Amino acid sequence: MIRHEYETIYVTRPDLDEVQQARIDDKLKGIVENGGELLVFEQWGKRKLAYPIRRMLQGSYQFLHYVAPADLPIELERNMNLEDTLIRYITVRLNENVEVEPTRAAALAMQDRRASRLGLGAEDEDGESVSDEDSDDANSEEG
Amino acid sequence: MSTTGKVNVESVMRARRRRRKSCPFCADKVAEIDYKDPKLLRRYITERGKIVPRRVSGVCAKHQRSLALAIKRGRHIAFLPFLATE
Ligand SMILES: [Zn+2]
Repeated sequence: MIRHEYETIYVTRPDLDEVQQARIDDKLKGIVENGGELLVFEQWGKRKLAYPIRRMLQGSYQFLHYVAPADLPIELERNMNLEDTLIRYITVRLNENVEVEPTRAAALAMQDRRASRLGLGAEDEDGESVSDEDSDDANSEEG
Repeated sequence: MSTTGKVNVESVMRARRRRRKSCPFCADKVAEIDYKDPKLLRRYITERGKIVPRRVSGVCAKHQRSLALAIKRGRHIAFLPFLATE
């Protein structure tokens, strides 16, 4: 079976509690694990949105990196569309017809550079990542 | 000095001719520009949120296409603005 390398970022409302967030994360991770190989899952936390979405100023960012047949991202997107509290997603096919293990090794090797590009860990250097104390200004009204 | 005037004329002419900038992504041997790098991408959008033309930035045609795609993806996932709000 031909499998490709994908990444998906999904953004959830910033005001979900841990249980609500875990339900979505577990569901989407489960879909990937069932039909493919999940290489990396990351929670990037709350970030400032570059423009308001449904009147929200922040979103909670999650990242999936996986190897799967071409129908899996479609199944994943169908499920993401069902989630009211999921406000944005993007899926990119990174490479076609890949082997799992070398792709996994490369995926793990990419984590540090990605974190640095996203300013993760480095607190709020140019106002894009948001600490919990600052998150009250997230407007949680439904648009 | 007798040469000063001549040097100035030459530097003015050189400045007026459009300087051939080399593509920064070619220089760094970048294969594909990462849409998950908002800090980098922000250098290539104007204050209004528009993509900087490559005649200004010096980016080559190949990397400008990659850059445009990265900016489009970055906007979709709200890493980058569509248009400045002010
Ligand atoms: Zn180039």
